[in-house]
Amino acid sequence: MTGDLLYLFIGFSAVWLGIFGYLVYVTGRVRGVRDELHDLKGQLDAPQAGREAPNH
Amino acid sequence: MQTTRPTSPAIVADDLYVRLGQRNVLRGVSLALAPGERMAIVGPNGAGKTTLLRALAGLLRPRRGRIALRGSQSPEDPAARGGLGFLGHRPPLYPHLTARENLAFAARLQGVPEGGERIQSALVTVGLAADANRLVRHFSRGMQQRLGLALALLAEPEVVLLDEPDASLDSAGVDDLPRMLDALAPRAAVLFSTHDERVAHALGARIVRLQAGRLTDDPPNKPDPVPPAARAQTRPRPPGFGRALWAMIAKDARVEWRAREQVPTLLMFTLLAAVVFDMAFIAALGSEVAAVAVGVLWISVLLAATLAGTRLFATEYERGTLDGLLVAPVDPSGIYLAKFALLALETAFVGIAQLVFLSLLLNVSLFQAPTIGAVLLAAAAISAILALQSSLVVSARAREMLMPLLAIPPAVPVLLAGVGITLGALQVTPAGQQGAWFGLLAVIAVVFLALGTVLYPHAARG
Amino acid sequence: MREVRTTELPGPGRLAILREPATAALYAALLLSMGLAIFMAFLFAPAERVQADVYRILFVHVPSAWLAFFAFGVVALGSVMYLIRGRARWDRLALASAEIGVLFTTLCLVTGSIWGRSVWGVWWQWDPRLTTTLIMWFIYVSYLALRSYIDDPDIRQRMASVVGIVGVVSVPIVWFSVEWWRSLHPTPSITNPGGGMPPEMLTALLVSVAAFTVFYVVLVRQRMQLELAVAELGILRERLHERNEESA
Repeated sequence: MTGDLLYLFIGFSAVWLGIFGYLVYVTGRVRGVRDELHDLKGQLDAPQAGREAPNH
Repeated sequence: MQTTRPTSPAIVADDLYVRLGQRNVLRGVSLALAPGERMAIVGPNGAGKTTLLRALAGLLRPRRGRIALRGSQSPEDPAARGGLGFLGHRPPLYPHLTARENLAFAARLQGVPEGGERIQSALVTVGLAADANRLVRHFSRGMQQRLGLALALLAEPEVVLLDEPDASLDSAGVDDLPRMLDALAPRAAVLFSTHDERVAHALGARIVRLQAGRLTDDPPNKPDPVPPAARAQTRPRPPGFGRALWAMIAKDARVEWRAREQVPTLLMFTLLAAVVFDMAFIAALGSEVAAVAVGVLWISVLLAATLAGTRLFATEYERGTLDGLLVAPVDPSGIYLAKFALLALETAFVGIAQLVFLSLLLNVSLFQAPTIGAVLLAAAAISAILALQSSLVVSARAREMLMPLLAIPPAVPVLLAGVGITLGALQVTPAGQQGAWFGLLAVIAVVFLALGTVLYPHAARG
Repeated sequence: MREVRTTELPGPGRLAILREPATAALYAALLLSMGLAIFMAFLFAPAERVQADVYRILFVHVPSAWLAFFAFGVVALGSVMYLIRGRARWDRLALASAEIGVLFTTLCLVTGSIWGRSVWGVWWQWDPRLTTTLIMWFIYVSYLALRSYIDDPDIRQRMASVVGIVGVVSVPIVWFSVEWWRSLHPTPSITNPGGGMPPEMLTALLVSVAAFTVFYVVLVRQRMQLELAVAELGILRERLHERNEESA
């Protein structure tokens, strides 16, 4: 009986670890990519003022 | 037969945007050519000249904007490509066919009469009459370019797109270009790229400059009206689906016959598989020999099909001949079906050969009607799956690694059905379920052929 | 440049995403339904006659299987719509759903294996449903592999869509495998009335399926946002590159 409960415990742990692990991983990457986006946007906006003659 | 209103331009690009990878290669290109007009695109490397020509030929799909060839037809419409001659920066030639055979294949896809004068006059015009029956793989780069021009102009197209036609031609060849165009496509609108403005002047072409994906000196968008006399022309009618399909299968068979790239190697692979698998199962050869024979048969069929399937589209892609097929006025699903037929023939051949090898090596009576039937039907089913997968991996990195991963899982039911039928035939398991297994094979073949026919055209164009 | 759209970037801060009302509501629904599902799985549903408590693994095993099917159905839908409409959004849906489908298929195989070990005494059986599920898993792993092997986004999206459509053929095969071949798996007891499941057990299972479905929605949203942000990053990099080129 305790053996059975152990399997039950392992099964549920595997599922919760899998799903939450994935959620945490994806959320972390979203945050990382968005930070990088912020940086790039900053770069894109900043030197624009310095340059003369927009190309249109 | 083609009737366009006299005022309609031959080539129109309207506000074209094309992206390759993350790069916007074309950024709002508009141009128009009247019938008979010639235009040269000049610009530095990476300006987008090749991309523009490929997009106009329908080989790249624009993200935005409109393309119309010969009036109002999109290049994605096979009928519109009937009047299109395209030469990319690599001529779409089969190295194991002769110059004449390459032209004859193109003629069949374009609906140009094969026995007619046209092939001979094209060969004479580009100066290859003496080399007509030599294999293209012995041709110099310049001769290949001349043959590429003959191919592009073979069907007397109304729209001609040439990517650096002067590339790798000797000075005599470059001087000859105007004469070749005048002789083979006198009434065509010609749009070409070049680095040499003298070529543009020699061809009497208007020059436009492409820089970083934009035309810098805007050409007038309204082409001059054309004299009506220039339109009296009859087009060869593109071949029917069946004729084009047959032309492609026959071409592949001839290439294989000359090159012997696949069949002998597959045969040796099959024999080798029989030997190594038998050795691996040596402990079972006494009591379970029939089961071992069945397993070895189907594993080697699956592996050989995967091996051949990886090369199926890749060879055409690497030679640049896939572009030639996609530009031809043929429904692209025909390309899938032709490749399916080739792979099915090769797989069936391997399977039959393995039946013989295993019967001899293991003394098992595998060579029976149900087993042969299963091999033939399974070859069709596996090939229907793998031909589609093969078209998907052409532009992938490490396609040899990817192909087995992509191809084997969906082919597992074919393997199971084959094993089921063969075990029944050898009386390892009670016969009786064979009908169901044959049914499964037929269903897989039909379902995947249908999927491939519908989906390949989506995968084909970049 | 007109075609570049960018997402609304939430400001810095760890829990910034929760400031969007839709997201906050979704997370609340997730917590509630998950809590309820766990309560019902362990306390509401009665113990089984033969298997006692270990059968409760059913409450994660079956929802995983259901969501794998559902996710792969969404992959096919996204792929078809991408090929018809050409909007990258559909491809992002397909990709997100494929990745999550593979996750749930893995969990389904793992929980099934653990359950099998305790009931049949072995980790693996060549049972039709197990075998077909494993093949389905391979097909969608190869879908993800294909994506990672093609660099050009447009080509990648189109090639993947074809695999996404072809792959869905495996779903009905897994579903009907228990009826076509003799199997250790029970035939569906939800769609089949009088299938022998006590009503409390069935209710707990349905709640569990619902909770997992909410989880699927949360995951897909998050994964799609990641993909959108990555695509924007590429566009911004290219724009920066173009501008440097032009000003040079």
